[in-house]
Amino acid sequence: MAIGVIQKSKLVSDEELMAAVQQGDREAFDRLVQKYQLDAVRLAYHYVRNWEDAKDLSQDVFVKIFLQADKYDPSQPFRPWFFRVLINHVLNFLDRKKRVPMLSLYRSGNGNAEFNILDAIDSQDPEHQGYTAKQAVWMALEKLSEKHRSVVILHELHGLKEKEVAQILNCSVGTVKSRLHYAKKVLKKILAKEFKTIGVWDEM
Amino acid sequence: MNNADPAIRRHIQECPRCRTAYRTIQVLSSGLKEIAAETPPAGLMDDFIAGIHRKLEAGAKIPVDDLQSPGVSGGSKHFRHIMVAAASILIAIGVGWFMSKQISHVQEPAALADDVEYYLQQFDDAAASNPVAVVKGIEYEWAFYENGNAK
Repeated sequence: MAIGVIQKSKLVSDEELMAAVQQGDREAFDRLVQKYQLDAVRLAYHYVRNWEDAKDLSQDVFVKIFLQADKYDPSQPFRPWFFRVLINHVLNFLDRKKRVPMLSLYRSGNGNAEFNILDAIDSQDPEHQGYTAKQAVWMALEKLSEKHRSVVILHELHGLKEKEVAQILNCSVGTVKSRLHYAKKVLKKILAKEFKTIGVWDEM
Repeated sequence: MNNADPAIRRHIQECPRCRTAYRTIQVLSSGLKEIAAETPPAGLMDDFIAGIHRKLEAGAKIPVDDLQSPGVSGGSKHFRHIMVAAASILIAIGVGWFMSKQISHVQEPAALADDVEYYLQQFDDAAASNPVAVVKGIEYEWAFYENGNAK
C-alpha cells in the first residue's frame, strides 16, 4: 500500500497506515503522527515529568518507527506496539539519566536533605504553599517499582483497558490486575505513612 | 463524605486512624485525577510534526535497542540468569516457610486476606457512598498493615 492507495477522505486503520509507512509513505506516517502525538507526549511525560523531554522522546520514537517500520508486524495491533516502543525508549532514557529527574523535585533547596512533600503541603511557609494531592501522588508514584508504576500510568492515568495494558507490557491480564491491585495498595500505604509522620491534613 | 451517615462522619473525624486512611484514599483518588488531566503547555505541540521531519532530514540516529517489551532492554542476559536462579531459591525458601506457617497456624483465618481484598475494593468503588464499608475496611486495612501481613 503506497501513496495514493490511501485516500485522504477514507478511514483507514492504524495497521493499514503502518503498512503504507513500511513502503515509505510519508503521508501515512504523518497521519499516524497526528493521531498519536498527544497521547505519546502525555505518556512520556508521565514517566519523565518534563514536557520538553517528553516531546523530544516522543519525536524520537516516531522517527524510529519510520526508519524501522519493517520491524512492525502488520498482523499485530499498532497501538500497543507503538506504546511499547515508546515506553522502552523512555525507560532507556531514564536509565541513562539514572532516573534522577523525578526525585530532584522532592529535594530541599540545598539539594541534600529529602524534601517531605507533605510537610510542604501543611507548611505555612508561602514558598511551600500550593502543593496539592497531585504532588503527593507523584511522590508516591515515584516510589513504586517500574512495573507497578507502568500499570498505574497506563490504566489509571491513560484509561487503557487491562487487556491493552497487558498487550503493551507483554504480560497476562491477570498479571496486570495483580500489579494494579498491589500498586494501589502500596500507594495508599506510602501516603498513609507520610500522613502518620505529620498528622492528618484537614483539607487538600 | 458529605452524604455519609452523621455517626460515620463523626467517627471518621474523631478516629485518627480512620481519618488518616480516609484522607489517604481521597488524596490518592483526586491526585490521580489531577495528574491524568494534565495537558502539555501551550505551544509545545505546535511544531511537533515539523520537528520530526527535521530529525528525519538530519539523519537522526536513534538507538534501536528497544523495539521489544518494556523492561526487557535493561540488564544483560547473564545478570538476568543470575536473578532467575536467585529468585528460584528464594521462592523455594518462601514456599517452605509458608507451608510450615500454614501447618502451625491452621486456624489462622485465610479469609482475612479475602476480607482485606474486599474492603480495599470498597475503598476504590464506594468510598463516598458506602461509609460503613469504608470504616470497617479501614480497621481491617490498618490491622493488615500493622501486623505486617501484606501479601
